[in-house]
Amino acid sequence: MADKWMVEAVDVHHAYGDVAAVDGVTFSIARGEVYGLLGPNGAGKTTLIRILNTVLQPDGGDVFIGGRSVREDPAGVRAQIGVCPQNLSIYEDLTGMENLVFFGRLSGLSGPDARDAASEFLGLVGLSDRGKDRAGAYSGGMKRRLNLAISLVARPELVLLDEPTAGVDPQSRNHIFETVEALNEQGMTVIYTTHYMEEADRLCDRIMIMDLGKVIREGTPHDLKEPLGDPAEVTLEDVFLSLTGRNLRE
Amino acid sequence: MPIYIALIELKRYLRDPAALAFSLALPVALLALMLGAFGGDPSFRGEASIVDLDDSAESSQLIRMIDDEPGMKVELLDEAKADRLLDGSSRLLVTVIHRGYGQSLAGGDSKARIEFRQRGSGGDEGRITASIIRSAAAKQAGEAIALREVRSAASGVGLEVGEEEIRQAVRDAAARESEMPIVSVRVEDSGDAAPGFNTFFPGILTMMVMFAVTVSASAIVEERQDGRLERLLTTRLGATGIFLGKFLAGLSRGFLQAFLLATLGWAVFRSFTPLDYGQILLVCVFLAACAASVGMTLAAITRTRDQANWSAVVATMVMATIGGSFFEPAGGGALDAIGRLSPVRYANDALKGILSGNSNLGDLGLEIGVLAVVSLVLLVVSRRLFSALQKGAV
Repeated sequence: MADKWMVEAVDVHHAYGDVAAVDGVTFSIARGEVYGLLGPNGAGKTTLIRILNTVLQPDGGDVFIGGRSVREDPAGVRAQIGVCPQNLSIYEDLTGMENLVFFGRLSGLSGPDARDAASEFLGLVGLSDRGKDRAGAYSGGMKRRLNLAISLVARPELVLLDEPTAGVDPQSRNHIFETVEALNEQGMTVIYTTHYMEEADRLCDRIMIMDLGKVIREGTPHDLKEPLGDPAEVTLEDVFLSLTGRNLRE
Repeated sequence: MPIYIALIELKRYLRDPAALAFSLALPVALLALMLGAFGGDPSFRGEASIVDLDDSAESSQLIRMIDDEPGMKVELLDEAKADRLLDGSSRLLVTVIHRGYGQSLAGGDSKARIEFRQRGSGGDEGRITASIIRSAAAKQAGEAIALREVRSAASGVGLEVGEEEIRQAVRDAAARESEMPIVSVRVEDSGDAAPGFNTFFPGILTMMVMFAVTVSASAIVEERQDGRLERLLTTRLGATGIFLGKFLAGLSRGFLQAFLLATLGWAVFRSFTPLDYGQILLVCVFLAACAASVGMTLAAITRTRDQANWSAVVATMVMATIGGSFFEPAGGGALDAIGRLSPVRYANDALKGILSGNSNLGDLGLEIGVLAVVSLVLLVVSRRLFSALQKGAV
């Protein structure tokens, strides 16, 4: 089970009271894949991400990450993942370097390894020359890049990126794309959630579109576009709107 | 790894100029207050408000004698002003030397009269001042009696001695008695510390340690509201590691404050031995652990910074008040019994025992044991509450 698949989710359920946030979701992600998770607000993406990162226990079903169950072995799961939350989760009163070393240590790296990895990933996200500055003095784009670097510092096998480009300028966004592509080339598996369809189109090998807690379509960008016409002409946004409708969501 | 969280929290605290200034300034300010209250010249200083209705050589002599007493200063008033001040000012005692005082003293007819007019009990200063004036008047009366007796004795044996010679002989005798008194009084200090310091220091120290409640109570809320809690929960540390780390951070902050105050107190007042100092710090470690675990319990159940801060303030004030930090409850009373529910009470008892020299660590098993058990139990409870109440609302 663990050889080919990095993630295997089997009939996952989670409800808040009477509201089913995740309703029988099943999917698999191969090692080295960039897997897009799309859906309108309230589709259940965040709940699913929280189950994957072990913050939430599923009410039913199970998810295996690297062969370890989020129910039975959450610590084993956490040892394999890096999480880049949608909200900036950095210490603004620490320097960029200190943020990376701190989270590296919490992810099990020794002091010297954490410092080496921190230097490397500061360089990867283009912050080498600002590593000794406090994160509070960074621009929004720089904070986003630091947020991404923290999720990578322990070199996890799977990284969960929850809207990593929200609210950043085109330069920083492009740098984040290049970082994700570079890591993927090194074999890292990526789960990528976003509201920007062109990002998913560019980065993801396969995409799952969710709505109302259920999987409504899964496939490569090409496969998803094909039913609507020439994949070269059809956009992922067309697909998204055709599947989830045009009504405004909460 | 939890220690790493505590260390990074300390680093962040040391980088916050406002927090640092406040926490360093508070022990220094409190110590300065204690120094002002207990560290000055302990001898009495008072002002005698006197109305001299007699205006004789004898009444003037008495006023000089009072004024010459160490620490005493005389203020002469007319009677109307004295009564006015006694009615409507902080003046609680006025001394009136009545007419005929000098004549009666010289004549020895036992009619020389001094009157103390006082409001209420006259206050501590008034009572001491009255005692000094009585003593001066008695001394003056003694000299008058001696003068009369010498004059009478000389006359009885038909000795012709001038009045001034008699007065000079009595004055010389009084001076000799003053230089080499028949009864000598010696004051021996048993230590450097003012007793007030030992009375108030434990309460102030425990209050300082209890700041750990506020620090710990906001620890989880801060991470949650700043968006870092989810990331921390997904590291290898897990929720238990985060709790331990934040608990250690709160403990360190509380202990650091206590360490500063205890060290300054020791350096300035020299009120306790190095061994006592070590024991005091040990009690502070256990109380800081207790305060941090109370804070972590509040951290587990609160959702906003305001909730965390206010609940921490209320918890601190209740525990400190019933625990005897501000005043000592009457033994056997209801407050005394309720106070046993507060861990602060056990720390105060332990610190008072150490400072009074009546206890050492061997005698403080109950107090330290209670603090340790409360810390452990609340830490476990807070961790369980966090899991139970979280419900995905990270």
